[in-house]
Amino acid sequence: MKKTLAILLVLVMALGVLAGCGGTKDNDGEKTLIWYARINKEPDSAEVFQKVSDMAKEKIGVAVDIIALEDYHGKMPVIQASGEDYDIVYTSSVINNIYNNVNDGNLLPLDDLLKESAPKLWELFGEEIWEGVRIGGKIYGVPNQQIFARGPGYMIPTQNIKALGLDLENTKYETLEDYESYFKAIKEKTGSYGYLPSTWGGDGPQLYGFEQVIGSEIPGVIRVTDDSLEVINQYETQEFIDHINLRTRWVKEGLISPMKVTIDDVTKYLTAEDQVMPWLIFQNTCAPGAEAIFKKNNNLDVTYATKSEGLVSSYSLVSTMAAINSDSRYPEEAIKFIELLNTDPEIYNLLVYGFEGKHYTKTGDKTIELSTENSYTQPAWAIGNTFNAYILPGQDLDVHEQTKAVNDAARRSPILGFAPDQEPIKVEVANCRAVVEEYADLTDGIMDTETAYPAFIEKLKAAGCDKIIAELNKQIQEWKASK
Amino acid sequence: MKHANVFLKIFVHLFLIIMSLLCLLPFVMILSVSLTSETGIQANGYSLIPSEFSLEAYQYIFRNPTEVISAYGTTTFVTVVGTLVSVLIMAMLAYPMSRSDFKLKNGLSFFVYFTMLFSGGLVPMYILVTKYLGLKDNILALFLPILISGWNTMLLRMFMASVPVSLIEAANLEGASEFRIFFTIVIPLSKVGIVTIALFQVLTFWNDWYQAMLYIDHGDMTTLQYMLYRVLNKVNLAKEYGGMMATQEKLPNENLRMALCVVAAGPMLVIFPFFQKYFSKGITVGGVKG
Repeated sequence: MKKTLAILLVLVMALGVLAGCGGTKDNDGEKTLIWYARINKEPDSAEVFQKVSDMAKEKIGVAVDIIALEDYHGKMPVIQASGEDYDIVYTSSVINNIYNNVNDGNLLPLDDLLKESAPKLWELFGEEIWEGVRIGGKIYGVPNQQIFARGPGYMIPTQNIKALGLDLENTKYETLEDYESYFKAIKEKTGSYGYLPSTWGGDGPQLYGFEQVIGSEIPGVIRVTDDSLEVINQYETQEFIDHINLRTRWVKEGLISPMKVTIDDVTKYLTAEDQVMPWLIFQNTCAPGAEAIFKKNNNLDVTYATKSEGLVSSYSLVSTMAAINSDSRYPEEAIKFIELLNTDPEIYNLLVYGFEGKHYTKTGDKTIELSTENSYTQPAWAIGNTFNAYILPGQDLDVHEQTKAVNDAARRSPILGFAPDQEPIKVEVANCRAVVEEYADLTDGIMDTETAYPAFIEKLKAAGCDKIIAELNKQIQEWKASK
Repeated sequence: MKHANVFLKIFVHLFLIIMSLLCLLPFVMILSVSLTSETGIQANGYSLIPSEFSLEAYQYIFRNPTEVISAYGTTTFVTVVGTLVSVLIMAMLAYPMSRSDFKLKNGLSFFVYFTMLFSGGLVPMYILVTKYLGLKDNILALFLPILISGWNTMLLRMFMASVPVSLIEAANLEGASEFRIFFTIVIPLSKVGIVTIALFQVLTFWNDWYQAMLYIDHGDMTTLQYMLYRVLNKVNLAKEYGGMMATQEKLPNENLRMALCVVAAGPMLVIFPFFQKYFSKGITVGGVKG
């Protein structure tokens, strides 16, 4: 007993010593960038990452150690707090929040680096976009080129057009209220209510002419048409009251489901092709090609009955970015690698789709079909310039040009380039978020509006929503004056 | 009198039957859902008997069998080696604390007790493991940081304190070395306690995903639980982003989650009964002693 245990202990220790030698950094004096990427670990990702590193070595003279970090929330703060070496990092308005990162001094200002070391990357975006991503006057991240114009809309199953005899061309479908006839038709046809998942969350308020200032559910919006840029509490506007009243009335009249439903719930109710699918869903972004992607994910044809005019805001620009560690050992090489990800289709598509012939086959110059046997999927929007991505079956050949056109044509948010400093209102923001979550059912019209609405507003006030509004008003006026 | 007894018996039995059903049904439910097709779940919800039998979730998991097998291998290795080493070290730590003739007994006990109340925190731990011990991407990092549990050591000390002092003295007089006393007298006599904490440690190591998340960046050294965690994490991520992104990843399905649960927890269900007889004894003995 004693001997076996002793031997075992020695073995374990020996194993540790052996395995401890396997460091990967900077072999033979060669520079290696460390990139904590918000991408997936796939069965063949090690080979793909190796190939990417080899290509980078060839093109810009540095190897890249790509670490597929799926749990950004859990791990990145620890890595940053421990001062561990890394060069490139994913940051956004949600995961690994860019504003917090800038506050904590984690990110390197990129202004000079971009102009000097990565001119092609600098050229990629107009001055306007770079202005939009500035925080405190400096650029801290390179946005991943994608749909910047957030234009929410309402989406219906394509088969309903025929099954319900809808006339999308000549009927006005602009606001949610316009869909009353749609749900009435569903009720007539199926004898039951339709399903309407939440329509207010995310960019929903944009359909009512609001632009969020500090995150979609936190009190604090401006009216897009209001030049004075006055920040108001969206939950106290007539629009919000009308919205919940409308949904409550529909629930009472049996037009929509009295239970909470999610988009995932409803899109799985498949029916035969000539039958009615009893739902309508809200989508945050009706980008060109979004129907094709929806079909790919859900195997279902959908049509946007309402598309709102897109809006380019700072919030949408920083929604997915690449940034450089302020303690990076090779900032110049790092920005060059980010440039590669954004300007070199070969390296980008390798990362996004894997190896040609194994993970996908080319069906045209830029079109591909994914392999059904070897799966390799990565979120294209978290890697680089999505305009360089190969085109999937179902997407228009000129989908990227269409997206670019939408971006260019979209209305600019009146507060493009304004980045709120959340530090003085941190507590209030957290409190208000909790209240809004608690009353999510109210916005879906499945609470008793008469009693719940006043209680909701009262709780928001207690949570400090007025302080948020006042602080944001102060910051926006200061920002406006400095422009 | 007799009637009352019968009623009491019926009541006790009913109560216990309900309790065991409450414990058992969730497992049956998980198993059943994992064996139901996705469309079946959408149409009929969760049910105790699969509404539409299907192995699609398991096919999805094992479509890439090397990853699952290697994850099982890593987890098994970590559990077996981790448990053996941790029980050995905890026993060696607990024994001196249990000896009343050991001078530093109180100091040592306080040292162990202190770790139960305060810890250095996540970041210092991370720095220690990665920078000073250099264990990043090393299998040791999967169990070394959670090797010793202060609570379990204290528990073991209580078992060992119940070994009669006279026995140890007698062995000493016969000329047995301290090591010999420890391995041939104290350990066999505290078998119940050792098996109990061994089970605790088996569960700890088997269920741990956090170390893998923190310390493994490269390669295939994924533990089973971390694989499961990653699937759930993917779902949460996609939800968080909602429709914000033009390109959405496809979400894993309900039955897949349950199947992962079965795959991860299954082996423990088989192992547990072997420990059980010691386990209940261990708990009660500990209680009386305390």
